Amino acid sequence: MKDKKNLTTEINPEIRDILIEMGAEDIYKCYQCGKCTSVCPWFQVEIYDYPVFKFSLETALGAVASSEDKKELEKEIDLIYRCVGCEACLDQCPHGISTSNILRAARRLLVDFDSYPDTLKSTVQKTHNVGNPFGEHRENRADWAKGLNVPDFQQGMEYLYFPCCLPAYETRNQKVAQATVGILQKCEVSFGILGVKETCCGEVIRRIGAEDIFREAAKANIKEFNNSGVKKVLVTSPHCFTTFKNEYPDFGADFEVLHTTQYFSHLIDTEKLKINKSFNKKVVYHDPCTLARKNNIYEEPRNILKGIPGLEFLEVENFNRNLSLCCGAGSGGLWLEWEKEERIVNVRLKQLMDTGADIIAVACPYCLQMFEETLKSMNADIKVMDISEILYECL
Amino acid sequence: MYMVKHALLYKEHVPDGEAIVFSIDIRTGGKDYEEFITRAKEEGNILYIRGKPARIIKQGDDLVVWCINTLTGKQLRVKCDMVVLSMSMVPSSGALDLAKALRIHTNVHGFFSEAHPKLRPVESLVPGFFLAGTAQGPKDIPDTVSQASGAAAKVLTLFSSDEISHSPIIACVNEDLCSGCGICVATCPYDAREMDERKKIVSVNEILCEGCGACISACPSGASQQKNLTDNQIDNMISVLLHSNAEALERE
Repeated sequence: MKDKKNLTTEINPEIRDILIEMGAEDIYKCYQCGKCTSVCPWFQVEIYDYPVFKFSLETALGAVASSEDKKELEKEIDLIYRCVGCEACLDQCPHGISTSNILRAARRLLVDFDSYPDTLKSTVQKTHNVGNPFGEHRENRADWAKGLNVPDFQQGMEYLYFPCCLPAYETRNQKVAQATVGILQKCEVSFGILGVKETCCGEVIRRIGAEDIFREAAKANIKEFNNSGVKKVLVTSPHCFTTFKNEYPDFGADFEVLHTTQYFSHLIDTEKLKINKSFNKKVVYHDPCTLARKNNIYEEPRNILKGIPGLEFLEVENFNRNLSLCCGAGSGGLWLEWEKEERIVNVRLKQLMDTGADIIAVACPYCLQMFEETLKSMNADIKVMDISEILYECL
Repeated sequence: MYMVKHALLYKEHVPDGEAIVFSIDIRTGGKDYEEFITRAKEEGNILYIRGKPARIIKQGDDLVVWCINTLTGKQLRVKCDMVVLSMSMVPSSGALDLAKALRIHTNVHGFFSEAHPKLRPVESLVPGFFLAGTAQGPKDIPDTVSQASGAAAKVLTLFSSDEISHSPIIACVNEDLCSGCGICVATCPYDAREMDERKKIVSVNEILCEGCGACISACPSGASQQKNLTDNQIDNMISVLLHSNAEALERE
């Protein structure tokens, strides 16, 4: 703000009104206490100041990506795409403001102007073209289930098992889907998969800001589900879970959604699933943001783990349950690259390793992917496993 | 506000200690209070940081307060020996029961309500009960003292004469019409009504009745009326008023 001319361009009521329409209606509730900033995962990255509390005020002024200087603009876009959508800020906000929603509105604007990071552009394009954010071929979608005798979903089956795009394509994550299917088969649950007809739920592209493409995908998915007669969906990814459960009903979806941990916990409670072997390891559980904070599922994963004989259950000190730290993969974070010292995942992994655990238990493919990738570059004696995998080993 | 006082007291007792106050908006309600806070900041050497602490984490023997200075946007991790929470004032736990027993009205926060915020600030709506201090709302000592003095003066006024005057508009019951349904007994906010179980007729305690009129609108048979303000009288007043208005209009 060197001269007056610059000042007038930064306050832009028009942009403010557009953003409010796009989902930033909470901005006026903010009273600038700054709590959001100190619970943000970026607060743990000590060399980096992420000004979460400023976003609502800046949006209220319409000063979002408003700089005319190209370098400044790039910086602002970088800030907007740093949010991992973990909603730790919403959890602590005295007025219930979701800063991730405010930023999502800003992202929608940036996507409309086509000025968002290139890696995310290709993610959105791939999801649009082939139905998954990795650009893998559609006909390979059911490859993970080869040789497992997984039936296609038919009318009359009780559950549709919907693996996320990651467990469908990524080699490490495929084991999670395979373990899940193994448990379901062992318990003789009536279930099927959509296989090649499956399309990404669209959670990521919605968080990136490509709202129109998300709506298209959502409507196509709902149509596919309705045509197949799906009543109950079982999902591996908390991201699919929250999208199906909380966002699809706006587009006319009418089916029940269960996360695998919820269902397995139910199976154990009703004694349909019997744990035969013990698992003599120290296990620390990492609460995925989307499962824990957004959908209040804290007990089910813990019940499963605590019910396994021999397993020593550990919690991360100060950062468990609703105070869990994000792995940094949410809201497009999986596709973005940051400097090594600036990665949230390193901080989280350190917290998890400090507990002295042998195994990190996760319940989200994104967390699994993020931890696995980072552990490869670290010389650490710790393994990451999905709860389904641990459970499958104990059957 | 009391936080400033505590911080200053602390500095008096521990001159080489450091006091930090986290706050977002400070409001002082009263004469010279703004100066008091300025004195605390300048002379008392108390550090004010604008920002609400998000978490307090135990690190060894220390407590670490996580906060952001919203004026500079800088992250803060403040190590301290003790954290004092500056809590808001709430009504005492027995206040609601007392209010129910005395039939005194309370506001949304559970504090006792005055009869009128400007004209009757120390009286409750129930005659004979006066309010003073934090029963009515959060208050500091000077405000409490002045309100208590006012309440005491009101009580003295009550006792200064040999007789107590009372508004003549009170409820009465037409015994021929009363069916003894008891609705008015439950309705009366002042406990001024009593059911005669033998006669199955309700009687009014004229000392307790405040003439609020709740029983009159509740009575299904029209047996309850206010003295000097019966339905009949009001009807007549209205018709006379309308009549004279009509005449005046005709004359014009």
